[in-house]
Amino acid sequence: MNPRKKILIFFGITYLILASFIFFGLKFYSQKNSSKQKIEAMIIGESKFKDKTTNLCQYQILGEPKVGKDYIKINFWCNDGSKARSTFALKAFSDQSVNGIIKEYARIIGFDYNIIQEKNWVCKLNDQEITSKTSQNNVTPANTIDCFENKGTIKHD
Amino acid sequence: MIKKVFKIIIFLSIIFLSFIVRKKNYFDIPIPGQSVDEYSYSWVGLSLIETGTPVGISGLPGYKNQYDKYININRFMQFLPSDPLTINYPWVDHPPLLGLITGGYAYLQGARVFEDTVAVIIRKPIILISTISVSLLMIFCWLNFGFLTGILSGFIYGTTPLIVLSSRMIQAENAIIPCFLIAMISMSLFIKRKQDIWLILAAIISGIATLFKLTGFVCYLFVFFALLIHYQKINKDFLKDFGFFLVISLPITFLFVIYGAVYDLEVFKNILFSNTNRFYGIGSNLLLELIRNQRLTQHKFLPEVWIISGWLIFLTWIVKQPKKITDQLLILATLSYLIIYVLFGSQPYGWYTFPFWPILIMILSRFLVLGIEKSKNIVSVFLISVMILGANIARLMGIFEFQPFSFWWRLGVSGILFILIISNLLKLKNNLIIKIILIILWIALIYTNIKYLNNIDIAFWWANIS
Repeated sequence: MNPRKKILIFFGITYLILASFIFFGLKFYSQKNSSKQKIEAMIIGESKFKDKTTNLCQYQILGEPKVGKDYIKINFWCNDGSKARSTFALKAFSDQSVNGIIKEYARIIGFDYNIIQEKNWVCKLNDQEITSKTSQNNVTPANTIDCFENKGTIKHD
Repeated sequence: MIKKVFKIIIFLSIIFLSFIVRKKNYFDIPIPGQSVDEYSYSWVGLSLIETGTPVGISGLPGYKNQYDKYININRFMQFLPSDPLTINYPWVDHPPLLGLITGGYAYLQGARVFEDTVAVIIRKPIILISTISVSLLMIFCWLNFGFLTGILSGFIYGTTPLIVLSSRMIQAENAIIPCFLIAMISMSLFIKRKQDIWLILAAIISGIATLFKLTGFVCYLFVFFALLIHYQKINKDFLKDFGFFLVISLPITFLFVIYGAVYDLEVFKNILFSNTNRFYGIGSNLLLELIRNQRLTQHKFLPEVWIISGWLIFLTWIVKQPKKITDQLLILATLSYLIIYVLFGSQPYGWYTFPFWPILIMILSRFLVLGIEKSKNIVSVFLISVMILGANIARLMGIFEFQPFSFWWRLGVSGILFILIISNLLKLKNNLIIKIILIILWIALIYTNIKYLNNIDIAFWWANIS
């Protein structure tokens, strides 16, 4: 037999095995392991490699999203005069309650959400103090959440 | 024997040097997040391993599942203006092979969620791949043009700042480059030795190249042209060889369709067509931009005179049409990728141009070494070397800092040029002094490459690389 023919037969058989393995193997593996919840958990899961900050004015998100008025501003004001000011596209928040947004903000920036309560931060939505009741309300586009390190902290430029 | 060992030691030393310069600050420069594709490729691999479904950044119309999320890996959003990332699944924008390499490596290092794919982990495999590219480039030149061209091309490709920075980026082009180089080596050996094994290797590697990205089709084009130039016409032998090549390579490329069929053939088809309708941002002046401006990303420019010189030599080669088939292979390789670049181009992302660079560096090295070995075009060899050296020095010191050296520069360059013109007119060959001068110039070139690379840290990046 022509050596090229021999090679092609060998290649053909190997290829069929590989292609079948990819098609059926991947289909089976995907059906067994893939779910919406699992994918979402992977997308928004918190990293074990990311150091969590305790200084809530250390990090912010740069830039203004190109979403018209469909944004939310989140500002953190610290006693030492530092601040972290970010603007987010609202569509990136699946839970659009005030609490949900601050929790997602904590994930994005990389700090422990509970630190806000533990260290008595005061948060306001459009200059109205957020209470345990109002924290469940949904925000509306172009709202601003301001959080102050304590009651006496003021907004500063 | 000793000579051979000596050559191998030099060869390995260049590979080691290339690896070292690529590794230094690799996780900081280029700034992670300036191309989110780097993360996306890794996410595709990671999600494929974890869930069997590829998830990545796309935004192309045609996907059924979409998330808009802020994923602030390496806290890159602190420094770069950021919109939420549009994440789609099952992601079939490109084949998943590169993602499987970087995402797979991240998985082995313990990454389980997207935020775990930090630059310090995911860029490691690509540094290894791009170091392999340096060795393949040297092998091609060594086999076809001799040892000196091999080591010069290795030194240049291994240390040119833009190339070093680009080779740290997780872009499919950085994986296509070694495939392209293997295809070039294989075809040059097939043409020389007529052994099927080299054609088979070219076919397998061409198929694999398209599993990184469909622009890997450049290998198909190159093999087509290489066989055509070998046989000089489309005859029976050409058709037999190219047919044999296609019977092996095309099924490997077809694995991407099989992969798409696992998830949703309709979505796969939609995305494929969405890709064909992408905005043609490189515009009608793409050829001028290609030669004049070198980029890392869409907005990060780092003009590199090494590459511009490569283009200049390439253009002269097209005009002069070299007779040796190995030289012609370099022209065909450049033209093959030019066709792909024009056809597949969309936004002027820097990485689309990466595959040009190893070929241009080989062309440049061949030209320079011919100057020293055969005294060919010695005046142009000197001028090109001085042009690159001047540009390298200008990157290292400002015009005012240069003034103390300006006298020696003026006198040196004009004096040597005068002597070269005389020796050229008198047809003097094998001028040892000129050879020594050129070698000193090239050592200075490599030194200034490395010196500039050493300067590049985060502060330098923000202040100097616009």
